[in-house]
Amino acid sequence: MSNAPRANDPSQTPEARVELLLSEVGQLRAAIGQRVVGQQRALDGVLTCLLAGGHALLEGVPGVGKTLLVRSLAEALSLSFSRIQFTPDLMPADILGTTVLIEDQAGARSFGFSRGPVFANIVLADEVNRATPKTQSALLEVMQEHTVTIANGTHRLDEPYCVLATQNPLEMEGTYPLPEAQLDRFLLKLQVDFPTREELHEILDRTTSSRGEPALAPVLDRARVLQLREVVREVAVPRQVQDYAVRLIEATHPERAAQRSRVARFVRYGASPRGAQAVLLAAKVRAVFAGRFSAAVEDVRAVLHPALRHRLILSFEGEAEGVTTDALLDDVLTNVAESG
Amino acid sequence: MTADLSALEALLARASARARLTRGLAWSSKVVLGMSALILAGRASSLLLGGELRAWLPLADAWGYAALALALAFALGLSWPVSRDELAHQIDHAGALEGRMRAASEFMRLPVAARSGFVAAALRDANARARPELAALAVPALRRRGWSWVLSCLGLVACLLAGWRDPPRRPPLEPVPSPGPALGTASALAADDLAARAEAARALLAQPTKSPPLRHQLADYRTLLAGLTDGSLTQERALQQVLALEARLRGAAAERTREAPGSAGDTRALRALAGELAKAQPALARALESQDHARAASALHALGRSLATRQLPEPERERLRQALARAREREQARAADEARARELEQELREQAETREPSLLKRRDAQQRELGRLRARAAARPQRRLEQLSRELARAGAALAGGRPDEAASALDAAGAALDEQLSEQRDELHAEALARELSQLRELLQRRALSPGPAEAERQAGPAPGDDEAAQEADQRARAARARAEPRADTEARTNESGGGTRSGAGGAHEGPGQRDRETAAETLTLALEDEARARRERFDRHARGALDLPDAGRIARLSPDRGTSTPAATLLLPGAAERRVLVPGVSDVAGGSEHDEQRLSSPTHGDSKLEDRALSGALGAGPTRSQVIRSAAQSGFASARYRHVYGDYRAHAEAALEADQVPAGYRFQVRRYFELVRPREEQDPAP
Repeated sequence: MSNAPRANDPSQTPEARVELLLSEVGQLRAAIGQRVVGQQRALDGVLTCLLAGGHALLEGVPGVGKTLLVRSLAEALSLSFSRIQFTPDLMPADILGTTVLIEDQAGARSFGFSRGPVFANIVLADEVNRATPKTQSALLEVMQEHTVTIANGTHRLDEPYCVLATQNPLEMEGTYPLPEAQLDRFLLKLQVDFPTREELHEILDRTTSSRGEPALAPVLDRARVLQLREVVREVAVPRQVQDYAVRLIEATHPERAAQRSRVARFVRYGASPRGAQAVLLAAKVRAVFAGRFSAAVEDVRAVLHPALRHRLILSFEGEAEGVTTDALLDDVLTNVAESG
Repeated sequence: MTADLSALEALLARASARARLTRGLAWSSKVVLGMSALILAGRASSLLLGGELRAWLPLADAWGYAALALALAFALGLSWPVSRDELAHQIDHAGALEGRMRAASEFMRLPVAARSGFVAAALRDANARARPELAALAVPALRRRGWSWVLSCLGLVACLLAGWRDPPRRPPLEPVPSPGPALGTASALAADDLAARAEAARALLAQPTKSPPLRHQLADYRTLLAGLTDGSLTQERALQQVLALEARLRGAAAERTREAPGSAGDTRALRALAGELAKAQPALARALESQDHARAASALHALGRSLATRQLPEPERERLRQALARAREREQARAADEARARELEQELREQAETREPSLLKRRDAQQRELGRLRARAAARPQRRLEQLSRELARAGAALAGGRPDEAASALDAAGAALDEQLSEQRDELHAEALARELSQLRELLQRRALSPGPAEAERQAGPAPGDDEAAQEADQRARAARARAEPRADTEARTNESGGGTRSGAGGAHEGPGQRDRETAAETLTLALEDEARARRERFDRHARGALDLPDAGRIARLSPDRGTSTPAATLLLPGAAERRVLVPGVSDVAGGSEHDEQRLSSPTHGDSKLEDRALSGALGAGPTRSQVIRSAAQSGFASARYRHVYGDYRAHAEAALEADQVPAGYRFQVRRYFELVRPREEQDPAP
């Protein structure tokens, strides 16, 4: 790759690269902060997904700023952005694109592929659970392979590619829960909390006055995002930290958890290997955000909930008892020792 | 490029050294703690048990071994390897380094060539943050919750104190002369044994401060031994004298017990007194607390002297005045209590026959107050220590009135009261020693009287197997039969003395008087034992006939078969009273309930009811969860009460949703059909 670091270049030392990354991420935060008040955890999660090369599912009640956050991020990056409002009558072709008959000036007709809105760097899938499973499944290949296959033709998406989906946990009427296969493709599931009192004041001050929504200047371009992704991938992971992550993943499986634990009772399927990848990648991003060159067990612990909360499939008993996956992950963190 | 990791290495080395040293000291402290616990446990057991169990003495003598164990623990702790990863983890926690040191500790083990750029950067980062003071923070000399150090120091101090001061237990009185040789066999009645016992009796007599009755009994015992030694006393005569002496000793002991029914009051009173004098006279208070009457008496005498010679400093005198004033108040309160109790008892005696309701109420109140006063009286000193309490109260009054000479004489008198108490305790010990002597002598004499052959044959035969058990059994039987045996023996002895041995055999004319007496005594005891065996047989027969012994009633009460039923009626035949029917738990006097008790609240129980006993087993916990209820209903049917509740909740929610929302008609039908299918079934309904 042309942007590969050069060993003897002082500006390409890990320290310099991490420092630059922190600086640029700081600028990005500041830019988004002009529009979005608070929501630091959600913003961290979205940036983590962006730098780790994953997708994020944002869940929160209406009006807490999910869509605004994603839209602001897209504006702060010089990347193509498209928004898809998912509805029950949305069809796969509506988002992927379709083959159309094209007639040239000479009158010759041929079929050509008309790209759908998924062909962008950042895709906002708003209210993703309102589409039918058929349409939701159209995203499977897009999210995993970053390709679209239509009419015997496979179309590659531009990198970086990031799907940021939102869903509302309250209005379940007329919605279709995301299939497990698709849930697993989201790197993180982020809870967008209600703002604090001070944040609410700030939101009101900003949005109910005569000053309009500020325009955001792009901070990062496509190439820089890809370079930052490389930095993240190079973060070192001690074997002890990786071992801890592996043991955490194992502990989410009912057949490997302790017999009398709540995981064994309430979980039907535990986290997949993709979950372990998500944990480790997110831990790396968190480490580099903290200015470190190696991930630590604290990073793993910090990212465990967003990385795994949508990957645990509860049993009938767990559903009936109203057990949350966050509570089960708390148990896992309690029961698994840092050093095995 | 090899990174400079000197700071990191130095930090880890420093932390490792601290960890080893701390661990060595911690292990040593645990050794000290364990030894302290052992020593204190031994000391406490010796104090609590009051015996000579002093397990700490061998340990105290083994200080060399203790030092060796200490050194070994320290050396082991110092030399045992420490995990660098663990140390790095502790440094991370101490310095809030977020795993930098732990990662660096692992990366340092990688070959330099295998280190990536970020690994090298991580090492450099850790090296830059490796400050020497982190070692002290990560491995503190005293851990935050390292109670073992504190406990070790406390244990060491406690051990030193325990070894420094003698335990405050009651000091032994003068050594009581050891009793004579043990009576293992009947053949032990030899001249040497008698001489040894006579010597012991002489030593007992030589002890000072004997009460006159005890001196008389000791003198009689010596005379008895002298008579046995020179042959002027026959053995059954000696046995009678021994029994008489024992009876006198028991009588005297019973008299003492009656006069001083318990020492609990004394102990409490002495503790109260010690508490009052704790600040003014600590030595005296300690002596009273530990009931060391000798030291307390000498302290009181010394206090009286210093008070009389005006050598007591004014502050100390003031403290003494306050302490004695409290003692005086307590004594006055005690006297007032006693006076009030006497008045109440007199009034209660006068009102014993009254039926007036108002007086009855008053009597109840008085009885309660009397009970309260008696409960308080339980903490008073008994007869022996009453004088001490009175004299101390008098000293308090004298000091309060500014009469130190009178206070000094009162304190002297209090000391004298304690001296008297000491003397009485000595007498008790001597009486116990004499009782032991007499018991052994009586046992020996009884066994010789019961032996079939001459004493020499017994001596040659040596001790028989189980001889000790036989001796104990004989002693118990002799005790039980003594009441019957003594009058008979007296009668027959008189008969023998007056008219010669009517029971003597054919060879009686050739027997000496001593041998005849022995045979008579043996015969007497044999008859007494036969009487006892007969009495036992009679008791057994009465039990077999359904009779019941009630020892407290003085005579026999009997459950006799009554009214021709198979169930024994509960009829008590009480001495001096008419035949009375009483309720005896577990025994019914009527069959099937032909009449019923007036106090019974329900109808009589019918014995022929068709009730059936069933064992019920409960289950702990909150019961099945909602999911278990639903699963159980799905598997085994919709008929349980729990499922009915679940169904009701769900059905109500569904109906509410159908009413509130715009649901297509087809959906409504499906929802209602579903709920109809999972409707709870009645028990008699066939399974769906």
